Amino acid sequence: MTKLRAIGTAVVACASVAVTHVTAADAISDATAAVIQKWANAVEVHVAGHPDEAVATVCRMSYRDRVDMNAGLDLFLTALQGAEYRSKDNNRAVQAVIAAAHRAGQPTPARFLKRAAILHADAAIYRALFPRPAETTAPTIYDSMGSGVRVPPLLNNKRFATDKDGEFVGSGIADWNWPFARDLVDRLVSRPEQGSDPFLGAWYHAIAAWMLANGFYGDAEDHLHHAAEILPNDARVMFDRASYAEILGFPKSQVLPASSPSGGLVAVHIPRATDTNAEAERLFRRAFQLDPTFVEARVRLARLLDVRGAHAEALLELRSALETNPPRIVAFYAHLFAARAGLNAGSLPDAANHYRDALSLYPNAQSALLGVSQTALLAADVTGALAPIERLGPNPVPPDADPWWQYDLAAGRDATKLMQSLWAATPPGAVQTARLH
Amino acid sequence: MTRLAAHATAALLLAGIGGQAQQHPTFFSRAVGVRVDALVTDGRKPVAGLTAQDFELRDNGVLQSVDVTIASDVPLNAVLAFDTSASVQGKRRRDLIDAGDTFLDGLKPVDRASLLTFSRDVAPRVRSTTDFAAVRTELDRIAPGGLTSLMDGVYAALTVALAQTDPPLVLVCTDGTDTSSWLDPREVLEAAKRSNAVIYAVTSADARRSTSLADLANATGGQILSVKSSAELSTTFRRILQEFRSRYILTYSPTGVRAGGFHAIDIRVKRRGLVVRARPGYVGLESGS
Repeated sequence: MTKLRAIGTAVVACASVAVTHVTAADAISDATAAVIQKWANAVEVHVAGHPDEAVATVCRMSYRDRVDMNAGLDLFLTALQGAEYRSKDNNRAVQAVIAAAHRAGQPTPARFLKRAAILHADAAIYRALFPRPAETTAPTIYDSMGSGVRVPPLLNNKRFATDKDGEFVGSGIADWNWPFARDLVDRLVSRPEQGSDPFLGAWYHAIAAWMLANGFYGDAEDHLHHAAEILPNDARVMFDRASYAEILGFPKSQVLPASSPSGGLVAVHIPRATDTNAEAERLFRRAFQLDPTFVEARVRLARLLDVRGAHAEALLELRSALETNPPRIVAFYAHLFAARAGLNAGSLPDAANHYRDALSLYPNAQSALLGVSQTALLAADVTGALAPIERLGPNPVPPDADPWWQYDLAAGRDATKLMQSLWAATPPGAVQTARLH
Repeated sequence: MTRLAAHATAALLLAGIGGQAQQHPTFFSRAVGVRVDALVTDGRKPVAGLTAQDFELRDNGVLQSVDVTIASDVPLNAVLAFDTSASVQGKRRRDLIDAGDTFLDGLKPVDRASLLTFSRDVAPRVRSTTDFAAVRTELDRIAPGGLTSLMDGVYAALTVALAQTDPPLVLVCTDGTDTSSWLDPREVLEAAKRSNAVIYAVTSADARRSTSLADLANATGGQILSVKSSAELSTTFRRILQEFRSRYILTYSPTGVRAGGFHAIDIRVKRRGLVVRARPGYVGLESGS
């Protein structure tokens, strides 16, 4: 079953709706203190990577809970990081929030922030396992163009379009856990351009990989845009951003605007392929500049060069990439793209050789089989054209039989490994007995 | 880049008609030649009863001497290429299977059929056969799911058609656009120019009309048809079969033209007011190849 896919760039509001939510200027109530304490306890007891009771606690938070929590969040995070808070208000709730923050900030605020970011990422990942609370009071905030409305991450109720096999099928509400988790993890740096904590880059990259692996392109767009601001010199972030731009240029993305209903509040907007491919090309180059060993960035860049018509340049990049003896799947891509670039450059024998080399790496790859057939046909070799087609069996082959089928996963191919590393790098929770209720 | 051949089986031509239409015609083979399927219509209605004298065929502008056969006089080879992606579920699946059965009902015992399906995977299911029951069995086994490798599927169908000597009809049925192919439309179009098949494509009206599929149909002298719902598939498939059988097969050995490269074909009928639909050209083999 084709996964439904949220498309982030997709949302363009035809009617601007900016709803005033409850702001932090509102009083910090007992309800605020209670929900913050409950949340902090969940952060401490959560086992990274597990859909445990802590995740359930987060998933059960209603919009009202989040409004209450948001009222005291700035205070909590300020106090967490050790800033002295002078309050004219000595009410019990304020003091409770400050106390909770001080406890959470031991031994370091970074420990809590990392754990919190992991908890909310896990809540987004395992969301489907828990019932969503009825949001009877939740307004829907459309991200209208140019409205300048800044929504607190905790209260984000953004809508995204969803599609299935290239057809617009409707819209859904994005998960607030993602922007909230970003807000938390971003506080690991005092200034955005530093980004020196390796956890930060690992978090952004692993989450991006998970989003791409699961087709959550809508969330990925905001995520990657933000990652680039926080980590402008991280090759992995550049690669992920480039991959996302590349995905938007594929036919399955480009066909979506035509299928979205006109006149509705949610429409689909995808940049033209030439524009998004140009952006992807720029970002892959940047990734390769930041890390010259990033051979897959070079290979993907080459594919885009060939698409643009720079066939000779593409072939040079691919030849250089292959000389580094890249991992098997990257070598397959290099041969596949070199075959096409070779055809485009007018060299049928080179193209045929590259397709055969690709097939030697993945003998059941449909893309390579079709390519071998195609080059035989162009050489008027009917038998040679038919033989690969006959190898395509009547039964489906495993998804990993053809790396071309996984190409749009990009870093998502390694999502499981990256998330496991991230979970393993999560600092331990405070040793305390915490009640969640 | 040197353009290479129309494939060997297309070059090895069967021409001439012997015997009566109801019996197996007698054929003789000629030296390397070209076969072009042409549909002649008066308005929307196919025109019957034309002979070689009624046609004028020019190859790269040079008038050629042609033989003419009616498609219904020769065994038909049908390659059924069906989209079985995720959107073809429920009633759509049932309607597709019923339409396939309807098509098979219209075939004669001397005809042949093969079945290929495409979702993300391109799956040749039944090789060219006169055992239509085997095709029906595989039709019933269709299990929709996954993305749509439309161009890959059409390429595979065209290649499968290469192995056929009798006029191949490639019937493509899809309800969406391409979301997962490796081959791009330009590459499949090059294959179509080297093929002897005629592509009839059926798409659902609410799918974005595939200009690539239209280009492929036009390049082979076929047609692209839209249906408003899958319930219309059976009627449409029946109509395609009837129309295909009303086509004329023009065969000739090119004279006065260079062998290699792309050959533009221009076919006209002497009677006024009739419209001819045929492939616009073919790719020829260089001499000595």
